[in-house]
Amino acid sequence: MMFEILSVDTGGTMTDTFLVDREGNFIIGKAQTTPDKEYLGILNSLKDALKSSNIELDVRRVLESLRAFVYTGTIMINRIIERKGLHPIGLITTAGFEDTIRFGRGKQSWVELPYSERLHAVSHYYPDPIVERSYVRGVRERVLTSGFEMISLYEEEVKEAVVDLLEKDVKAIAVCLLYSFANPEHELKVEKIAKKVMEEKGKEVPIFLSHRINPVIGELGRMNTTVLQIYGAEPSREQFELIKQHFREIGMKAPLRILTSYGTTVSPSHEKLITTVTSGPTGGVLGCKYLGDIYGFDYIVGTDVGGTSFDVGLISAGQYSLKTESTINRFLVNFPMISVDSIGAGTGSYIRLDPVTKRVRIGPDSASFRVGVSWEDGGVSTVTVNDALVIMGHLNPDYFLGGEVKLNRKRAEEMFHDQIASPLGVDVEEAAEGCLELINLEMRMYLNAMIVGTGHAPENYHLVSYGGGGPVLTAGYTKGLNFRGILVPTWAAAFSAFGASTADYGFRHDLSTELLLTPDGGMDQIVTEMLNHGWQELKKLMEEELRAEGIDPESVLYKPSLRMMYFGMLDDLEVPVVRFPIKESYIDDIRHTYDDMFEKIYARGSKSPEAGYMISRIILSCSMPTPKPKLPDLQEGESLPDEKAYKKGREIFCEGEWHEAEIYEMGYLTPRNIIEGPSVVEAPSTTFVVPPGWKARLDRHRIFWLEENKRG
Amino acid sequence: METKELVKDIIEGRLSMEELYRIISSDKNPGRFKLVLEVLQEKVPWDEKIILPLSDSLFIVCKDNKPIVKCKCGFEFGDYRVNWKLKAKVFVRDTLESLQELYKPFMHSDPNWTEIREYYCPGCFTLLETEVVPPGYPVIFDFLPDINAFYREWLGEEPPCEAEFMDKTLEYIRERMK
Ligand SMILES: [Zn+2]
Repeated sequence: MMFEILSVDTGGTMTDTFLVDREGNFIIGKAQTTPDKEYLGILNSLKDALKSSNIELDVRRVLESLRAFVYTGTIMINRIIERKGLHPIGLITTAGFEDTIRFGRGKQSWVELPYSERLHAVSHYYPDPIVERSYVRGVRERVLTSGFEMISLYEEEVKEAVVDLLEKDVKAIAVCLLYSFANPEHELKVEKIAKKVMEEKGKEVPIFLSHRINPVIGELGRMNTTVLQIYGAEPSREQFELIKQHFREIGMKAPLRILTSYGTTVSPSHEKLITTVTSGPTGGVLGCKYLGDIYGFDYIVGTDVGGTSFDVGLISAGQYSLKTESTINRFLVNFPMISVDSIGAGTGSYIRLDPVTKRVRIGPDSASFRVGVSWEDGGVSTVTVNDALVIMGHLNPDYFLGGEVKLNRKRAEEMFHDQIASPLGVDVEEAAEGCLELINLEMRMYLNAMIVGTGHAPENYHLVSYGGGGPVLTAGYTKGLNFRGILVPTWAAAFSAFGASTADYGFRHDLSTELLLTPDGGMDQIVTEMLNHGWQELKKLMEEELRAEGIDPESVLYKPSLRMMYFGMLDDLEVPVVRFPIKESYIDDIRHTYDDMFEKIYARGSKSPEAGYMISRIILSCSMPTPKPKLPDLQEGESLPDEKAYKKGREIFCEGEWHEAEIYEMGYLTPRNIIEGPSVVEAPSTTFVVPPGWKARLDRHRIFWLEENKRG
Repeated sequence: METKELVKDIIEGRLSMEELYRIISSDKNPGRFKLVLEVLQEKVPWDEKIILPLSDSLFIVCKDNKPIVKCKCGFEFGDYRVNWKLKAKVFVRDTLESLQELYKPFMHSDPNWTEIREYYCPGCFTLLETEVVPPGYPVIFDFLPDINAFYREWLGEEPPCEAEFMDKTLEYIRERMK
């Protein structure tokens, strides 16, 4: 096997690897994350992948043949959460706005809390500011939204501010002035003055300008993004370089690429590295998009069931949606992120009874990788969803993570009895199934609400189920929703890492604007000029960055796009543009493309072109040729699984009774095999349950299609 | 399970917001009230048994088998069913001068519309409570708990001492006015 692509996902606790060869054959591995030396965890995970697939290949040989090495993970976000970033940072902003960063936004006090706690004002609290108030300096100046300079920069105040901050021993200075995205002159002037002061003082610290990091409307988001870039991303750069170096030393030739939250990959030297901060859930959505392109689906819902959370991403009309505002550890930021929503419900979620009302409650906290009480060494004393699954026979206690973690079913039963079943006065398996149904219901309602909320119905969507805990619950959380099709990839456990490896090597720049296309077309000419100018400016910036990364700007593909909305509406959509510069006549095409997209994503009835259109962002993306994984494409065979796929049968509990179930080893199933429920398909990394009344068919790409038999 | 030490930390305000949040968002601990009373009892210099805390400084305690309000300093306000404010020292801010001791000009309310009443303990002069009300508004009785019901129906035990649940403030005033 000649492996081509290595994709790793270092989570807080486990590091997943996905290795794929030229034909789309892949292997997956798992190992504990090693926070101080990430490369070790990655290496161990890689070795595990080779070992568990019985591949006798030297790690050096594997690394030498690789053409791509893609990283997603929690290095940066953990640095921010644990407050171990670059410190202290000085901030220079427009006088009168010194408290913007401290005020934040009201929503910062609750935004990352579980729903139940958002309701309770007593649970709300604000994150400690990353830049303390005494490190913020205001300078008088004013640029209007139009970019017009109303008050020139008080240069003396800049000098004073810089001298003062240098005396306070800041490690870096962030500059964020009002409307700098519309006219960066003042920020550039501040930089120039600061450099001069530093020269005079013989003390130099790096300066970061907000219009370069994130030239987007919204002072707080731009400010937070700039500060987090300095605080979280700059120090992480070194860590990425270390990983790169270590792998270089043992044979890696491929460049290290890091997944961004908007779905591309960049090198560790990328200027806006902060955009890679929450790439984890992005991988899964990219994987869904990739499957969609192969199967020809335009509407897909990706569902990722992990130990802690249930993440849902939607692809509508062939596009995943990018949200332009989100939070990082409660700090509001406004760079684009692939929209993924989640609730705190996973296989490790704790199950408890409310001590007063005896109501069953699932989550929002979880045992995460410590499984549940069925894993004695995990030290967990509260029962979890995993324990319910073990009790019901859905999980095989002797084959969890391929048998590496031995689970104790008896212990699970005893503690489930004491904590849940006995206080409720029901049998253990009945209680377990009730709890399982509750979590499934929660997921089902959440899925339905998300899809219906966009004006669609589940009937329009194909669902993909992944994450280590996805396939064991798929039937439960999709039941009754009538999806067009339910896909369960055999590599569900490493699907996010797989998705990451499908991302283009490239990045994007967003520039805020307010361009109105009036209904009479009178603005078309000037808007055309402004758009072309915007793209040209972004391209210049991009070329500069590409050169700095040692990439020839001529070898890169540039893709212009823009975000627009009907005038007066609040939500914009991203409209692709074929090339730039555009001619005035192309504005009509843009309008039509937007109308079509709006109709597909929302509803025809809510179109309102009569008031005109507003262009809110000018966007330029660039991408370089990127090696991508292929899906396996195998010959279809018999519908009856091969003899060796059968394992020892066992009883599983479904719909209130025990059923004798067939148990299969996933690796021995071949395309066209049909699995009739009640059955369980087991693999070291995941378990796939086909309940009674359901069946699953394995297709040429090693993806199961799960469906409920027609009743009656 | 919550320890007495943890409850002490909560009461003394020694926990970070993250630690506090974990407690707030988890299940109510049915034993916490008892621990709170224990911690509070250790904090006060007198021996009467605390039945229910009213504020940082005031407690309802059992004295001669009657529930009364007592300050942490030992000053006794008498029957808990009579608004304790009647026995407190009062300072009213109803002029520009007095308001501007606290606020900058134009940052305070109009004294023709509202006044600030500050209630101090006659024993230790701790500021016990503040109310902001229109001039002439009756003194607010902040909290009159039904101790019997609280102990019997919520804690499931007998109250340490008993008094019929009613507001005796008016009765007290009437007697004084004779
Ligand atoms: Zn006192």
